[in-house]
Amino acid sequence: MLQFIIRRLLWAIPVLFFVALVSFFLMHQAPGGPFDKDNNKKQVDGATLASLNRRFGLDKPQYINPAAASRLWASGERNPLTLGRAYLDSQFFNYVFNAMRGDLGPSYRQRGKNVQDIIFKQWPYSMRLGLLAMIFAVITGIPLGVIAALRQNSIVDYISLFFATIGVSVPTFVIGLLVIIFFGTTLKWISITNNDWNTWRPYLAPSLVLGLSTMSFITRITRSTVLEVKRQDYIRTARAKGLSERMVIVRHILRNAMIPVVTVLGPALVDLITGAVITESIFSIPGVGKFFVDAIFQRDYSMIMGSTLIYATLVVMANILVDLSYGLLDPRIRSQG
Amino acid sequence: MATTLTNTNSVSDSVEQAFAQRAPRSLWSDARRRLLRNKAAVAALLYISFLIVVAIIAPLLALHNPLDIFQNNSYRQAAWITVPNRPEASGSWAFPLGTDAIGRDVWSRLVYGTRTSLVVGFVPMVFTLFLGTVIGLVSGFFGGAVDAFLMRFAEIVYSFPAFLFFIIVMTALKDTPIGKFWNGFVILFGALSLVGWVGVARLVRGQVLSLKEKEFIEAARAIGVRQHNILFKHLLPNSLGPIIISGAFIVPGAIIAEAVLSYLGIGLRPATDRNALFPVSWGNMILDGKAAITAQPWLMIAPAISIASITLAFTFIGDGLRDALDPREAN
Repeated sequence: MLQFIIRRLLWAIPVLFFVALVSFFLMHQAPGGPFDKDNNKKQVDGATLASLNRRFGLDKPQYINPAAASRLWASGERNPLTLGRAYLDSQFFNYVFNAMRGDLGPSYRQRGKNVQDIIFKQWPYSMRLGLLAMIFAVITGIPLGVIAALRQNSIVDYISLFFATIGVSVPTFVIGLLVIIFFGTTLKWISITNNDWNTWRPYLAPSLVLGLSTMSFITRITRSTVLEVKRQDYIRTARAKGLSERMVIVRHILRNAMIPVVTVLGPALVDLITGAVITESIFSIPGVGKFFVDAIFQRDYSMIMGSTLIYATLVVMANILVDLSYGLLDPRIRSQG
Repeated sequence: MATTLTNTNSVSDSVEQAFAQRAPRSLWSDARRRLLRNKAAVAALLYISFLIVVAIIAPLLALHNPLDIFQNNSYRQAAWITVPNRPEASGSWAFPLGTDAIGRDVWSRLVYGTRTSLVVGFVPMVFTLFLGTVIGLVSGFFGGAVDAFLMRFAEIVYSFPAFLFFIIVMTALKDTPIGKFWNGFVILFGALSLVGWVGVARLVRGQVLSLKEKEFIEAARAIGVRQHNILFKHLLPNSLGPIIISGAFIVPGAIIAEAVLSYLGIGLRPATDRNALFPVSWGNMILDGKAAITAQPWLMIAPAISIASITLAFTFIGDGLRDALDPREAN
């Protein structure tokens, strides 16, 4: 099992490196540099631009720096580590090394602030939203799925299946906007502006909206696994030996049906993480997602890249958790490594 | 005893007769029957056909050109809503769903938006299926180093969160020549297809790996069928079911992605040419509507409901296809 965990964790390294490389490459295809984009403000002159570029290391080559390495070699340096570091003294690798130390660089639009400061300051708001949404999704999704499956083809089954299908197929941002229009501006049940996000009340509507797709996903999965377990021979055996119906459901059906459900909580978590971006922006929750969306609108490239890396790390970790839970719950997968 | 025996015989005889009398049916026609018995899927198919017709005859249904600006008509409410003391903001049947910020007709824009959504759903699906099928076939059929390399690569791509990839691609390339090409359609299709192929490739590879060991492939090899014939005449047709099912789920995913990206202001560019085939997208309309939730809610409600219903319809079709093509999975 330990070997399995280490393998999965090591696999995250090339994945995150790939994410960083692709985002870095793409971000540098965008026209213009960080200091000449803001046309409303005073433009910097050549000398200032050069010193700014030097200060942020933008005068270095983009990916590799063979010139620096050969200069060191010529000056008699033979330590491969020092030479290697000089070879990688480039914008991309410096970004990666800094990111590994938790430094995501300055925001291009919010003067004087570092990307990681913005992200960590807003993190608690996102966490609250995400946790509430996950709790809602789990405590309503699983019972709905179980009831639907136990009463297959009943009206309860059809209704919950219908709503679950709506929940998985209609995008979160569409549901969020409709909720704002109907319950916010028309019925005035929820307040849209001037919310105090340090209290729990305003989180109610957004976490229901965000949790809806996850809840539907869980309902659908639970329903289909319970249906499958229900038909197994060991359930018939349990009934045949005279167990009460409640015992059969709780001890035998639920316990076995929960394995696939627990393993889909991981992808559901990923769904919540990325879904939160849009939900926060729609409901103006001052979480990381809202700042990410603002950065997209303002073309704040360093903020976009930093947030992407953080979100990607979260997603990759969530996927590793899924694999681990598979391994824990199903011994067959563990033995394959 | 003797009577019982004859009875059983006659029963099995009649069963055999029944089978003989039934017209021969292919697996595909069986699947079609199962699909057509699924009411939700049939309703969804009818709805999508209706949307296709709307997209084709959009010029006949639209009351105005979707790009025409009507002066002094900005944020007019939907036709049935009257704003007291403000005739210029009250509804008029010249603009059934009202107008947007610069006085463009919401109904006409909604009708033309159908075209964009359908194209954005179907075109990436075709590319994604093609790419994924080719890679999956090659990987599964040839195995070895090719397979190992392709699957490692697929795993890395798969770990890249799709939503973040779209955002990165669209923000970075939006203002470059390739991003401006065809109002951003090309770059959007590219981004959507580059992400989606992985799931299809894994699926096809898995199918090929299990089919490869089956007797009919062994038989084909034994009688000397060429490799490419085994690949395209035996393995591909037998993997089509899962490919079609995943295609049905790629379409709504692409439609949602386009809507979200346009809502974030990094999707398709607004067209300027009055004769453009795809002048407006529902995602763009929602972005416009966000600024006027109270003044003109239908600017947002209409495209939001359209997106909700089209994605719901495709999900019903996907569910129906899965139940029809893979009866083991059906409950």
